[in-house]
Amino acid sequence: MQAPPLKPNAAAGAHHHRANPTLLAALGLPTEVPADWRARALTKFDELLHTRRSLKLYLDTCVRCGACTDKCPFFLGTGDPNNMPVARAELLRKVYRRHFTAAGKLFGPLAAGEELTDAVREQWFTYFYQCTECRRCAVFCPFGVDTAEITMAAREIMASIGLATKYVSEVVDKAHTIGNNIGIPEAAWRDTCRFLEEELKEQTGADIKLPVNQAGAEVLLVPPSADLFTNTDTMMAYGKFFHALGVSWTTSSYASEAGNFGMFLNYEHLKKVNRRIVDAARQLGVRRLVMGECGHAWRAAQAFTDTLNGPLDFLEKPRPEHILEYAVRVIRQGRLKLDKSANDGLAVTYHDPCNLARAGGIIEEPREILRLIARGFREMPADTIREKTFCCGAGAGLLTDEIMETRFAGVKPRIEAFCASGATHLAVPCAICKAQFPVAFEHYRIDAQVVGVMDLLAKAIVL
Amino acid sequence: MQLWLSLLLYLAAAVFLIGLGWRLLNWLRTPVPLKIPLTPGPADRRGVLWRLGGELFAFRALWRADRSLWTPAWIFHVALVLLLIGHFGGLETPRFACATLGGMQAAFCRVACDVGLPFAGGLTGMSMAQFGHFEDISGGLVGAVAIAALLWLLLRRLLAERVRSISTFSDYFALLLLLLIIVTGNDMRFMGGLNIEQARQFVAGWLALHPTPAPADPVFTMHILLVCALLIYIPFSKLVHIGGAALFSPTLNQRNNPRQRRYTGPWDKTNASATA
Amino acid sequence: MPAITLAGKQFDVDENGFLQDPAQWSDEVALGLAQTEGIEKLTDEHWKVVRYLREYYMKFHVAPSIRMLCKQTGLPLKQIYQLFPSGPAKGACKLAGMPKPTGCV
Repeated sequence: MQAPPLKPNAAAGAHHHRANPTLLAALGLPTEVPADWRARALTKFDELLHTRRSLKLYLDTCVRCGACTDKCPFFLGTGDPNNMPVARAELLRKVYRRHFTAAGKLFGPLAAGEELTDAVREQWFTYFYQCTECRRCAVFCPFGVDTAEITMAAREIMASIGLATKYVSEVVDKAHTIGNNIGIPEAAWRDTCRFLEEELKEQTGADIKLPVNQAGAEVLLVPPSADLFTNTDTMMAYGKFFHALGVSWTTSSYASEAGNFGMFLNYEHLKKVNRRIVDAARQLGVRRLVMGECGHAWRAAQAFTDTLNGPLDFLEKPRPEHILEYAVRVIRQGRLKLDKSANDGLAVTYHDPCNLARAGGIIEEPREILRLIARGFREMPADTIREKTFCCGAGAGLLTDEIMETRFAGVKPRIEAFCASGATHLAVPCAICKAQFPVAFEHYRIDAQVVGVMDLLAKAIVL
Repeated sequence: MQLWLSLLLYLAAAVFLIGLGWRLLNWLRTPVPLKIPLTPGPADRRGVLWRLGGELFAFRALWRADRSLWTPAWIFHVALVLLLIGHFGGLETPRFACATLGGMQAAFCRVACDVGLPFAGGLTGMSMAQFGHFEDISGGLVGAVAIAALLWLLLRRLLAERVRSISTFSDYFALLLLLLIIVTGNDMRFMGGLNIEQARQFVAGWLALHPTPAPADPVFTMHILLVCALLIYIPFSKLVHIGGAALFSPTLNQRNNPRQRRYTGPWDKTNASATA
Repeated sequence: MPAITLAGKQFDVDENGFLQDPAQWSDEVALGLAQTEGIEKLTDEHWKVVRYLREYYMKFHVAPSIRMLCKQTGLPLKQIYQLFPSGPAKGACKLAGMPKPTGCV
């Protein structure tokens, strides 16, 4: 997508609602921005500089070469210069220079240092919540500077002074208290699974179970809770898949969420949300831990679980697996009977969720599956897929109504690529993408459908 | 006269070495709590070396991002390395300079010569005079290429809207400093006026920790003063990236193997005992 | 905290206009909330959706899955969008006096 001309402050007005005091208190954060917020923020900043090399290094080494300036979907969509990755990072970097470097302390503005003022704080809250931590910029940076690391640090600093969005805080709180992002309690979880079992019976004629809290099952499947709310086809697909394999599996009503919004708030909550999955797996005595169709969940699970809450040596396979990896393996073993004609007539293309591609390495698996089960599979343009994929524009806590215009702008590069593919169906293994694309398609008046990769696979499975 | 120039250069070099070393050590000592390699990425050490090598020597990410930036950036960096080799490796400190020195210094100087000479005279079998001529031409040519690349980068910064909007004073300062250093260098090569043998002795003596008086040439003095400024500036600015920033970058230097072996964040002590 | 006046009474709502306290809900409140959603008149089908959501929420403290909503009310999703232009999770839930379903939705 062609880079737009600069439109200063084009997205400056897009704010998320702030978390209310009750929510902040529940998360152990200051309930309002304290009078000494500046000192507190700088203390937190200092702590992070000493505990995260990524932050320190990436603040130090950027040479402002400009390679990233046309890579962020939010810049491409909004034209707001602060959405260029380098400029977004400069919002933090200018304060870093002023307060933590010799040059900045001595020369201030001449060394491009800036005081941490109310205005800067507002800029942080605006623009670090217009970054989906999708890491596309990092792919093009000669030093691997990862704006996701900068954004995470900025959000962590903000959280330490009671600045967080309502959406992220609410979801993290629900994950802690109920076990999933939507807030589906055990009774409703069981009720929904029962209902979907009936649906499966109607669809396939088979008695397919969606087991809950079944101790001793081989697999603990952790889906995004949206699979029991909006993306029920995907939930049913897991059921049909394991049924066809004859593998015993279960979900957990305690760890009923793959996603980890803690990652979008701070380290402490990332770790705490992640912990539930490990505890559930141990308690249920499963042998394998499999993550459902969710993007950032996979990042948290595969890259962080073992570090944060491991070791997982009580599992037979002591590492989380992705459902699509699992599926590819059993397909290669010939354990599934597939009929690709079930998906005939669908022009399908695949959207790489940013966290699967750039933070989880799940890139070829979905393609291998789609080629096997959909004759109409085709790719989007090469510079928009795999590790160069464009974000859906709603990850990392941006899926809110209040910044809808920014979301539409952020998804624009992806929409253009989708149109270029000529597909009618967009296969996406990520709950946030699945929530964003239908709204975006409607906005851009595109007649297309969003489906899970597992949905299409399940359709092709012959029982 | 002008021993002070040598002394200043020692001071600047000390600031450079200590400053850069301190910065690199600081990066190295800051923990990396989580696995954050960019994927797809290599799971083994050899793969990581390839990845880092690709970034360090070929600027792969930049190639992916923007060829019109890659071209001047890569050319400039290569030219800079060649010029450094030229200055230290013997092109300007040929063997006869060693003859004027004794003992340890001579030995040191000879090593310096032997690193550089294979690049030029030693291998081609040129006479000393031919060699001197060759190094003037080639060094000047590389200098000219570096100047062209720097001008390209400068113009890009001034003219491209997005890059201009993110540029700070220090970005222009760094470019101008480098431009002036190479321009004064080439001025001495091509405009004459400098006693080249004296300059060679100055460099050789300086390298051998046995400083000799600097040539009484204003352009030469300016060249050295600018180099001092650059050396002192590097550790305190974005130019610190010459320390090999990509090598320290966890998105690039980590093995993508969190599922092959448990990675324990070295900073959060509660991780190790999470399940105890 | 924002508040709105419905049927002559004050109610606390969240930033998106959802009732803060679901217990304060009544048919009159639903009618008032319908106005905020730009829905002029509540038909039987509207009420069918609202009452089912309400019933489910009182039992399970969460909204039912969209699929269940369609199945139990016998209304296809398209029609629910016609009834509640901002969708089942926003418009319909708001009228039912329950919190806005959030998460990856």
